[in-house]
Amino acid sequence: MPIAVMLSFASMPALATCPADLDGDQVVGGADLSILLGNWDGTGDGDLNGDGFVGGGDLAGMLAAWGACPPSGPFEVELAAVPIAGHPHSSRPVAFRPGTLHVAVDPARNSALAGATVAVFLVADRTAAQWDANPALVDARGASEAIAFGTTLESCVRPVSTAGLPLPSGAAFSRGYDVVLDVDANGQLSAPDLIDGRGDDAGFRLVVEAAANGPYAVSTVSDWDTNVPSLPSSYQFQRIFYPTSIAQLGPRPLVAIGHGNGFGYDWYDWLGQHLASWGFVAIQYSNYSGPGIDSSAISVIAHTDAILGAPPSLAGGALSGRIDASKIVWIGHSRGGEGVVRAYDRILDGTSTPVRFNAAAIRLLVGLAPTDYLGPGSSTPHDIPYLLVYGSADGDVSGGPDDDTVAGFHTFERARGDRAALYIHGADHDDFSFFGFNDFTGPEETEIGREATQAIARMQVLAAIRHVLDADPAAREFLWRPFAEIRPAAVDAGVMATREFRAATGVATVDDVQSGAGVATSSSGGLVAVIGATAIEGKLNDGDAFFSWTAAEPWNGMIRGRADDETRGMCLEWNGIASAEFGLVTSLRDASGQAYLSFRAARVTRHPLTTLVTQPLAFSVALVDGAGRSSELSIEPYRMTLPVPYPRGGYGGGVGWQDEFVTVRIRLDDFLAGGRELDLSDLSAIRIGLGGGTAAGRIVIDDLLFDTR
Amino acid sequence: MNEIRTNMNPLRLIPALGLAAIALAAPPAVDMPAGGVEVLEAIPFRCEVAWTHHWSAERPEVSAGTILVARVDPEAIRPKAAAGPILMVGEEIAEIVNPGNVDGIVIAVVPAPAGWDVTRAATLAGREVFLSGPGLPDQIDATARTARREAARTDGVAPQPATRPATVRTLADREALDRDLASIVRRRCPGQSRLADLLDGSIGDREPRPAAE
Repeated sequence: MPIAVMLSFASMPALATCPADLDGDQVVGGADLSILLGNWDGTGDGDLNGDGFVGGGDLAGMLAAWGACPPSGPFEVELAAVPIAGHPHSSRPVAFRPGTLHVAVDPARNSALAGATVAVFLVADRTAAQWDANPALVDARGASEAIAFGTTLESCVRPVSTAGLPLPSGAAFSRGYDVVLDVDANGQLSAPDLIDGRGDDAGFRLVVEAAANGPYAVSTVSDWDTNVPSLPSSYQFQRIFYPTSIAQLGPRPLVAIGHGNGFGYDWYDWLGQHLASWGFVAIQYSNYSGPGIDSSAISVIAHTDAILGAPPSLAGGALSGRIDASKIVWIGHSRGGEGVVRAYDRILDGTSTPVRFNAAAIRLLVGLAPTDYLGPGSSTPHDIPYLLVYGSADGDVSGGPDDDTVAGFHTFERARGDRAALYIHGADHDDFSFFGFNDFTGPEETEIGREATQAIARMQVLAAIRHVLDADPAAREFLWRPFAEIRPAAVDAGVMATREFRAATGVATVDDVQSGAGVATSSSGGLVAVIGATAIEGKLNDGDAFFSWTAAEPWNGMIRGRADDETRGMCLEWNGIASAEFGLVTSLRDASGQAYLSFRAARVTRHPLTTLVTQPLAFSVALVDGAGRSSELSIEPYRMTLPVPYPRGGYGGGVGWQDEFVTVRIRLDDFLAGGRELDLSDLSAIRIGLGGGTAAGRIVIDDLLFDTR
Repeated sequence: MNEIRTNMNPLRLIPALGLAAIALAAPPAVDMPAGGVEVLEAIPFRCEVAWTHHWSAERPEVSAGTILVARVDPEAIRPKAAAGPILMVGEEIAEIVNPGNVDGIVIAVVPAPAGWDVTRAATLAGREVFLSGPGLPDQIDATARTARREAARTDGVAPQPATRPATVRTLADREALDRDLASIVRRRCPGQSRLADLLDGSIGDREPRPAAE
């Protein structure tokens, strides 16, 4: 039986009302008294005792409540947790695979729970209104579970069973649950309880195994001859996958998949079939990429128009009226990856005019190891969400420093919408197709092969689509959480990948290094103080043809843009204790409405300070408030350390491929863990602390920002 | 350059080295003529309906030309994401129809030059057939093509000799040409039957072709 405990909740947000707080500012004070006196002998605001008029009894009640409103519950707290190996001992994500859920409380902020045993309920997700209407606690597992908290941060992270919890139904990516600690053991959500997910968002979401096939049986049209006149005969074909039960479903989003140069449209069943099993209509179109990128772009436009205007008889009539022409995702491999980006650009600039859809219907572009022949003027995703999946052992779109065309990161860097990248160690170019010669280029023992590469890509593509089309918050986490936490179950634990993510909306940018104002001033106008380290700013473009280190090319290993691209970053080099402190301008000081601190960082390949340290590189991040207080966290427990660059040789002496960015995201609330005092509504600076983790290094950082989600 | 560049494709160096280097994609195989291409067949044709030739920057409308069947070094012409060698005939870029790396046989459509009399006896006579340096065909304009041809000449690529007059195939449109190409693929590259099926539409659910716009 759960044990009811007495609690003190000094710092938790209160949900209950404070009747004498007439203006709702959580303080009973002069403003409230003015309201009450203004209604004296009348009715309305100020009638605290409900006797029908405002009088002496109400005044007495107000004076008795004078001062700050007492907190009362139920208290909204993030409870669903993943344990991490170091302070603050847990992170609080949304997405969980079955069997990985923990519940964590902070004994410094929830002192009454220290050492207590409490019943935890996992309740099917309810909105705030539904909780108001029905506070009864009904555990979706059939029964609640008693968990015993310790007295330290670490011992207050406790595993919770997900056995019996219904998995996402149908083709849903995730299924939401709210977490309640039933402190008073009354089986109701009531004043002393803690809840994660009382608002309209769930406390946590159980996610599917996204690399595996979905719930739908799949039907196929193997070779549909579209007869589109704008393409040669042998490029008029497409393969179509769709849910067999499509007649019982609403109109389905369309995903078009374009192959690489010299490949076949029938080489991508690993992805098309997968997406159809999750409820999409997927076409694999013949991509006319031999002449160049524009004919590839024409291919995807023509094939998309063709399927949207397909004769009713296609697939025995199964597809007639069943495709949602307002939700289209374009995926392309290699030249096809650039082709879909160019196609979107052609529609925007009026070079191409589709017949049956428009630019607004294109919701997401995906590049699988894409080329960049056309450069920033034509191969740019503009403001549309963009996903890149790329392999470190690519022997074709190699990412070598001598060639701006076989450069997989360029289009990603140009994306201004939500953008995510997954960089897979040991994956090569043709791993993204069913066929094709083995172009693997790297240390033999690191080769992961097609099966693993494709499983990882399936997971990432499905998550990106669900993020964009459904705004699923669990899917969004697949775009930035460490690969060690979110990876296909079937892929060997030794396989490594890194993620980058930057949201287009809901962010407050501190420094994206794009202003060109120099290292002493952030792009938001704040002062930047670098102590004990050397710092430079510049374009993320390795300007010579080698990866071997030379001081003449400080951006060695940066293959993020051409000379006429604009993407920039800040490089820091240290050997000993050092820091870079980014002062916050007035408009950025109040971060109380933000959820995460985010930035990306990478080690400079083959630099002596990089080759010196063969372990992942760690450093700390601190927030400083207006009162001079600071709270510092290491990135190491979050598993967001900077990896040793993929150990591939070539382009000069030494070993190590491109500078591998990792997005570091730390929840702002984590800076308060353990009772640390910090005013998030009045921050003065963000400080990157160097040398305390890894003693020496050279890194590039970029896109320092706050994010609301 | 004294560093080892084990991952560098030597073809990618060529554009940076100037005109003299853009003629040949790679040294021809030992039994190949200069230019890396051995012509096996050249079949002139004319179509009643033109189509867009995407394999040059100008993207001209084409209604006549030559079907070229040639032997090549399979590795030199393997299609990749990275820019590959460009098959040229004189100052025209040939449209490559099949992956030449499979059988070492490449089948291509060579557009007739502007003003070319396709009924002339030997359609390739006087023109060089060669693999030029890497690039994307649709980024190469007339000036660059002229330069590539001049570089090929400098590198010793000889023009094709005059041959006996060939019969000009007269076809309705590109679709009919593709059927011809399919039959050549079946004859020359029996391992590429799927491509032949795609070219002549002998697989798939074919709907009536809409009228040309």
